[in-house]
Amino acid sequence: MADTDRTRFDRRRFLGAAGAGAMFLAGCTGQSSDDEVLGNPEFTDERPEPGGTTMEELPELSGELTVYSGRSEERVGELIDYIEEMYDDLTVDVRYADSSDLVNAILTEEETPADIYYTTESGTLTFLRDEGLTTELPDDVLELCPEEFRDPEGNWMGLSRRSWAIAFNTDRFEESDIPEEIMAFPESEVASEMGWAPYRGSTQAFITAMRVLHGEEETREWIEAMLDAGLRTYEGGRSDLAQATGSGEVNASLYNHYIVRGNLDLPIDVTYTKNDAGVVPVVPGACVMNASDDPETAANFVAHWASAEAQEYFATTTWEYPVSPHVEPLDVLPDRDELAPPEIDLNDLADIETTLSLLRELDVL
Amino acid sequence: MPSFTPSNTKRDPSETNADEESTLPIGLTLLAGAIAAVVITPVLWVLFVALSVDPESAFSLIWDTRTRTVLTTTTILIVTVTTLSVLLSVPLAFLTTLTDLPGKRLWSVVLALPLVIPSYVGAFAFISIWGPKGIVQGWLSPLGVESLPAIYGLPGTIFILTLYNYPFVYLTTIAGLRAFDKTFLEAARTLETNLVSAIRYAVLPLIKPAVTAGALLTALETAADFGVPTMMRLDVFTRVIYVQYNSFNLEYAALLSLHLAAIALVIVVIESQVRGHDAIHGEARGGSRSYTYRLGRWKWPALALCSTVVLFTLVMPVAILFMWLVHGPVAYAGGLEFDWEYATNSVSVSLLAAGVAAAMALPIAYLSAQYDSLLGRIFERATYLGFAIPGVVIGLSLVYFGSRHVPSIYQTIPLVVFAYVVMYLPLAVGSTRTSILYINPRLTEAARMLGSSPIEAFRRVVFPLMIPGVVAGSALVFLHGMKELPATLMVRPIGFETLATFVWMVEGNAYYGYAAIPALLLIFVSGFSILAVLPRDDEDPRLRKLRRLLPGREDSRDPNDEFIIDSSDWGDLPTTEGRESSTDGGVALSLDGVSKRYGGEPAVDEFSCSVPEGELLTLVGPSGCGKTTTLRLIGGLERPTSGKIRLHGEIIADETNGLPPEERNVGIVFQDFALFPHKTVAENVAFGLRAVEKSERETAIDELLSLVGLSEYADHYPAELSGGQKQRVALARSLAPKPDLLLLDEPLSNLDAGLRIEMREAIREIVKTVGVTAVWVTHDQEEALSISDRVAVMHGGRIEQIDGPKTVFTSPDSRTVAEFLGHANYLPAREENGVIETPIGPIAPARIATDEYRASSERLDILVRPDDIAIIPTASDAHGRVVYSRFNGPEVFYRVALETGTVVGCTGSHDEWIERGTAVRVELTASHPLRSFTREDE
Repeated sequence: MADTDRTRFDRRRFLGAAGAGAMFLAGCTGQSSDDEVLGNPEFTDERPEPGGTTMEELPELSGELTVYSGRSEERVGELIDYIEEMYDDLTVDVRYADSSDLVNAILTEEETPADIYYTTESGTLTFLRDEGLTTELPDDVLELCPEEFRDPEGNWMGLSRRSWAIAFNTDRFEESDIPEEIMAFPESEVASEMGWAPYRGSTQAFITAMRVLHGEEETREWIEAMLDAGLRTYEGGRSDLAQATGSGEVNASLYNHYIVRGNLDLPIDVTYTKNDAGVVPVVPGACVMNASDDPETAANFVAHWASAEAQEYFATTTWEYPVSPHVEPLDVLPDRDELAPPEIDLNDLADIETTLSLLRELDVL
Repeated sequence: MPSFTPSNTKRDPSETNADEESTLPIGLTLLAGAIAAVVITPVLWVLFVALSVDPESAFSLIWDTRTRTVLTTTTILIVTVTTLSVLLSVPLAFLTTLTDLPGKRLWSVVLALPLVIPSYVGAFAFISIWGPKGIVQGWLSPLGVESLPAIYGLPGTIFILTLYNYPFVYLTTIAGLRAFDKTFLEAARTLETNLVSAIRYAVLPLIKPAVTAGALLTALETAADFGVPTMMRLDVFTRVIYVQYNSFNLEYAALLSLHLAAIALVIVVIESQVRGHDAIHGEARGGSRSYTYRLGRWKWPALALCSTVVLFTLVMPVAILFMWLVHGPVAYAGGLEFDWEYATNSVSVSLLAAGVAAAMALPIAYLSAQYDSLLGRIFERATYLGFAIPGVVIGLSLVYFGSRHVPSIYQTIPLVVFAYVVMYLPLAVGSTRTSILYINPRLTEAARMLGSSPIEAFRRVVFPLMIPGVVAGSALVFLHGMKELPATLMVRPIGFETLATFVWMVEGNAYYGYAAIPALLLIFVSGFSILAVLPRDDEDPRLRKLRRLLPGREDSRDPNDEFIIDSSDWGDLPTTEGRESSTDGGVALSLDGVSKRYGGEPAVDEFSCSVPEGELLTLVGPSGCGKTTTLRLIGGLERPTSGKIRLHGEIIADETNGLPPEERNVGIVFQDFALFPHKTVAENVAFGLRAVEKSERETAIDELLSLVGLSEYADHYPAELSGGQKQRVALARSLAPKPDLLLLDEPLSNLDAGLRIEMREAIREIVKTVGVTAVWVTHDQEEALSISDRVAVMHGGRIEQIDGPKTVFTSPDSRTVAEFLGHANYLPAREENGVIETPIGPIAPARIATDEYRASSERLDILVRPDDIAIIPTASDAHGRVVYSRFNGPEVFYRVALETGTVVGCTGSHDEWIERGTAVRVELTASHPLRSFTREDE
């Protein structure tokens, strides 16, 4: 809930509020915003032209594609519609649902009608690859994405990037109050006022990263110590953790960096730890299903998401870091250089089974 | 007087179609079985998947400590929510039905409305308001309140689920309270000064089936709810299942779902035990009187209770939605526009599901309500399983079947509709079943006796009466469909957005401003369907008025030419001569060794008699003597186990064959009248006259109504008539098709004592006027003796004696007959020297009616009725002393202890009063021969 008593009014909040009024009217009256501009017009104006391969340089698309999208319509719907409208002979059907719904459906379906699976974090991509349900992407498509954000076997590629982050209530904490190392949290004053959402796949990926980087034993101790300190569990996903952080129910949380985007009315800011699991990248990406009737078109469609325009869209509209080095993230976010992610093979994050048993052992799940 | 057993609600064979228990209708059973199989299949798939888990890990998962904790939590949650729902609903239902609560009609709508609010919206609102840092804390913060106590966990979950699930109990309880006979409550209140005990002893037992039916749904809905426990962070099965589902351990998710299925089974079994199979219909006398308890100063607390509930369940979530609306979205969401199509999608899919569910529920509900059979129960209860399985699991199951076996409907609207049906069919089944149970089976029988085939009777009587129940069930399915989310997400066609999926999408990403409009729309649209769910108050005169105005009432239809009968003598029906010609002394009805057994016990045993044309025969006997069964055998409502029944010489039933009731041309008047409540008096009378041309039919109706003296009431509904008037309508209705034979089943026992005497004369008069042969069943010997041409006294399924009223009374064939027909004194006697010595002196043998005593001259009992003797106070030669006296008005009843020890009852004039203890002489005053019986061994 918006808390009208609060007087804090930073630039983020101002921009957001201004944009909100206009968008709200558009949203309710059914008029779409200016069709010429892809993405949030609030942030597209003062930015340099995005670099890298443009959509026009990519092969033309035609035919029918079915996309199972674990990313929601309000995040990527505009982009997908934009690509579909570029080509007269292209029809794209998108099934939006939670990633887990879609993966369960793919596993249950006799032969999935999906050509492309698109998701918020790479874990399920690795999972589907390991189940033998995906097909290799052509090299020219894969090359649109830096190696660190794609499957070494070439079955999936990242299309944007988020970072795991520490969100904090700015009424309560200064950025300097937050430890720079994730492993130092249990001893800090922040720990007793923190929340997390261990049911969410991304939190599980964070724990997986910690296991990979610091070993299982240290991870277990870290979780226990955090719980002892008073770490509170939230469902996550329904934005409850963000609300709780903003309202002061807790004053800090383990979250994705884009928490600030959806909660401009709340006194929330984010900060990053360095070179550890606390800043592990979360990579939304896509793969082509081997049941696809037209894997070539499907792969080229995925390529469009890696194009300059699409990367710009992710930067301005979903407030993510583009995977393309030729497109800059939004000014309000820390520079890419400020981010010091650990070195890690994203496919290692797919081993959530071990993480789940660890969490269950600790009575977290 | 024979003991008068008030008609209790104990199961009598006709009540539950026990006759046909062994012979379920094959077609209906197969249909119901097929439907149950179709909807249970997705649930069975869960079992199938669960079985693929290797047994060891399956066991450890099913029975580890954690699962047990979850089981305990889930159980506590279900039990507490259900109990609290009952505790909340019953008082609310009572207040809004039986009291003078201001605005109670409005309250009853508003109090049912929480059902339309998706519980996830309710929970969200609740947390926003009452959370540790919610709105309330915001208000309190100036007072230094930094944080409210955490509401998460079991108590909060119980609180929210109770608030959103209690309306199930509330709705069924209202229905129960409206249907039951309020005279019980009045009676109880005269006995119990205290209202609370009146409710406890009179109302609660009667509404128990209704309360349990609602509690069942509350319990199952609680078991299957995912949103609220998730938001309130409580570990219950739905949430544990979801964790497995999220890590793609479908087998484990399925395995854990079996826990829920098992819980559902337990709930269903418990509910079956509690509710039994009692028919819950009231008497078919017509509407029950309304009853109003004046609240007085309790009005304010009552209003406060209702308002508090509404504040928490409706006002708060809707206020939160309006706040979203006013604040608007705070972040950019391109291409995220609300489209009215989402609303039409929601409505059309939910409507389709409601329609399909109603149609599929019908055979299952009918089978289960009309036939007390194991199969019927299994089919009905099987449908409840889908209600307790989480939507994601059902959705996945349909993904499996859809993509594999019917790819043509995979990801199409029919599959969405089917998903809703699988989950919500029990709502339609329950409501339809209840509505059938509320229909008195006599109504169907009455229709059959008026010439309707079983299907026609269903169409003309049962179906119109169950429509409110069917509509209510469909409306429940509809509003659940409107809210449904997880299964919709799994099986919907690509791009198919409903209000719920849209709310989910935008709310999940904190775009609350976008969620407000669809969420309010969802609540608004579903809100209207609550009006259909609310039990209709048939007492409402406005409704009857409306019905009267409705065009196209059934009886104005053109007759079917094929069936026009010769009705040349309709005109003279009400005259004495009308039937004179046919009263030619021939035998109208004969029964030849007719027996009827229920599971070996004979109800009617070798019954034989014949009834001449135009005779009025009464069957009289104590309760359970088989008289009603005999009547039902004649009518064709039961089939004889052996023997033959002939009407005008033609066999209408024997041990193998029987004409169905509608082909016998036999009319019947039931004890509880069984007037069709949805038809006017004229329509009731016209019911059996469908084959008659319109003008003649109208003439006939006019004549019959004037015959029974109800011409002015032609357009009234049965509920507007008094008992005597209803009985006269029932009589006119049964006479309308000009039956060869009229059956009257205790026609007067539901009337007041004074009216009873008046009515028995009137009915006899009418029967004789029309000249129809009639068989009249009664337990009242005075009634039998006063109106009959002949009386058949029955006992133990047999005729003890059949004779004219005077003969059976004064010259009974057996002690049973003698005792049944009135107070019987037996004077012990023996013959000595040509005279018969008795305690009141010698009697000449010539005065003894039978020659039976000659065979056993030693020991006799002479039957002496109280008015056969007189007592005279005397100083000397007394026979005994008065030991008891009772002033009865016109006469005084005395008991005299004779010197021999025998006690005899006798009557004396009210003119004279003899004190107890007075020595009296007993004199024989009767002039008719006295009946005697061989004395039984002492």
